[in-house]
Amino acid sequence: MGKITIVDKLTKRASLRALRKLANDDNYQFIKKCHLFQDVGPEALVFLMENVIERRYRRHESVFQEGNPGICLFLVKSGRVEIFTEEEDTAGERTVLAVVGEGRVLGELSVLSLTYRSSSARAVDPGTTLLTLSSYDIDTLMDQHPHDGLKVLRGVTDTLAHNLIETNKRVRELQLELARLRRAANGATDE
Amino acid sequence: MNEDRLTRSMMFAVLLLFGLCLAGIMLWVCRQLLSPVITGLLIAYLIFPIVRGGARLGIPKVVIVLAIIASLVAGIFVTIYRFVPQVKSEIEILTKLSDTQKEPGDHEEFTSEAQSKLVTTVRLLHAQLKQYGLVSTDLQDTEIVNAISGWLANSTASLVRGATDLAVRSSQFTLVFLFVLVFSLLDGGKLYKTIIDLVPNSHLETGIFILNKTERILGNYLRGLAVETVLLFFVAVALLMMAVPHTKITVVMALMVALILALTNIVRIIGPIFGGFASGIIVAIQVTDLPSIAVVAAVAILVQVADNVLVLPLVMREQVDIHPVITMLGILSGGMLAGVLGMVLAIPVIAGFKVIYRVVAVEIKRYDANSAENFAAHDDLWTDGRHLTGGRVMNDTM
Repeated sequence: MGKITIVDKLTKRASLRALRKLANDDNYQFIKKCHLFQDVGPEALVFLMENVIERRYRRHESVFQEGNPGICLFLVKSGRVEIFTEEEDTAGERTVLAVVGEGRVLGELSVLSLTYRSSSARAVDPGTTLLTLSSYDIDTLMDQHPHDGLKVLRGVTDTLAHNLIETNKRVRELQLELARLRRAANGATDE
Repeated sequence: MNEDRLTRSMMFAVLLLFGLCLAGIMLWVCRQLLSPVITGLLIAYLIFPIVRGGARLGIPKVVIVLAIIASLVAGIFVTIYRFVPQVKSEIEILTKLSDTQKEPGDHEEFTSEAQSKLVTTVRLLHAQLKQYGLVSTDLQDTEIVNAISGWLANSTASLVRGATDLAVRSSQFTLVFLFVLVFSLLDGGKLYKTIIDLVPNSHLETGIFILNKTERILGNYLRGLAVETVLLFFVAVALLMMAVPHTKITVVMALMVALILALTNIVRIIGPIFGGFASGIIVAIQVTDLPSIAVVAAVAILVQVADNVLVLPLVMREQVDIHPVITMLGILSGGMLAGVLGMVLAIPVIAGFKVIYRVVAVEIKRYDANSAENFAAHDDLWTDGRHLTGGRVMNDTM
């Protein structure tokens, strides 16, 4: 940790004063509780509050579409968001990959790497509210408050690691299910 | 599904086109207001980091903005106090000089040093042209005096006529400019969010992308322009200083010519031509020496070569990739809409429109089933050359 200068002290004091004014702001309360930003300092919280964009979605309104470049990270403030693939299955229906509820994060990979959206997302409930931060904002956060930026990135990688573990579990279950079905199919053929 | 997406994308493109046309018409109707508004927004954009930095330290925004405005107003008053009496006396001298046309040949009254130097320069040029057989007639001093006096009389009359009009326009300009500046500085952060609020949910990411990219182009252009102007000034000074011992060009004159060449270069294509001529005329009036004029002309050309070969590719890679015809049309349109300022801003505005055009072109192609491949073909647009990861194997939304 470097030496704390008078500028740092003044900035921190001004940030704390700004956050006191935001004490009753529901977006501030939400961001403070969000696991990605739980440990960040007051300066970073002020920055996040200055840059976060709130959007309300109608039922079934598109949040993002598969194949588009991912620019934003979405935080579900209220309502639910459905994540699905555009490709339809044999029954002519889209495969729903997950339904994300309040307090969860969407599109977090766009913060780490420039990616194309691998699936689409749309609001499930009417009046679903999302808070948006662009990858440009996260880049600026990293530039201006590197310590806090690192904490946010740690949060993102934790989320990704959790998702990966869940996906591995699901893949293993499906592999076992597939093996069981194959055995059953082989048994039926032998008979 | 694809047809649905095509319809949506087409609607988006049509609406965007309609919006651009409407914006164009509004700009034309309000072009009188355009210069102070653009200047105000531009200055606010450049000094907003000071306001933001001060606010981070806990200084109220109003105090910072008031301090900035006070300094600006003080600057304007000092300028008026220092330069208006000088301009007034210059106009009086010009009016007196233009009266000599009424009495041709009266050389007693022909006292202006500048005017007599101009006559000498014209006489010298005429002699050179005659020597090379390009002209055959003789030119009398009286004819030169009459021609210069006539030109001066016309210029002075229009200058005096325009002075009152200029004063009124300047006051209007200053008022609108200060108004825009104050509110842009106070609400700088909110402006971005207000624009984003206008973007529909389905195109939020595209909107954020366009805004960030155009903002970056404008910022880079203005910073690049500042670096380019300073570099060209020093190049011109260095070249002219080499000529100082061998010609009649003085150090002060060299600095002045270098400043003119660097500043006029801000307006692409037209600026350097104007700067070259203006520098040539100034040197002609001041020293009446053909080698000095030739040196200034050579320096003006060398500065342009240095700018195009060395400086531009280094400081403005993104902006030079615009066709010269488009650049020329843009500068002329900018000049018609917002004067010199419109000419200066023509390039970043064209670059911004180029980004919007490319994004819209990609949006229209989105109905293609392989849209990721479609975007992949425009990787440089989205990532500035950085490689985009193939998202089909990476689920970023789980």
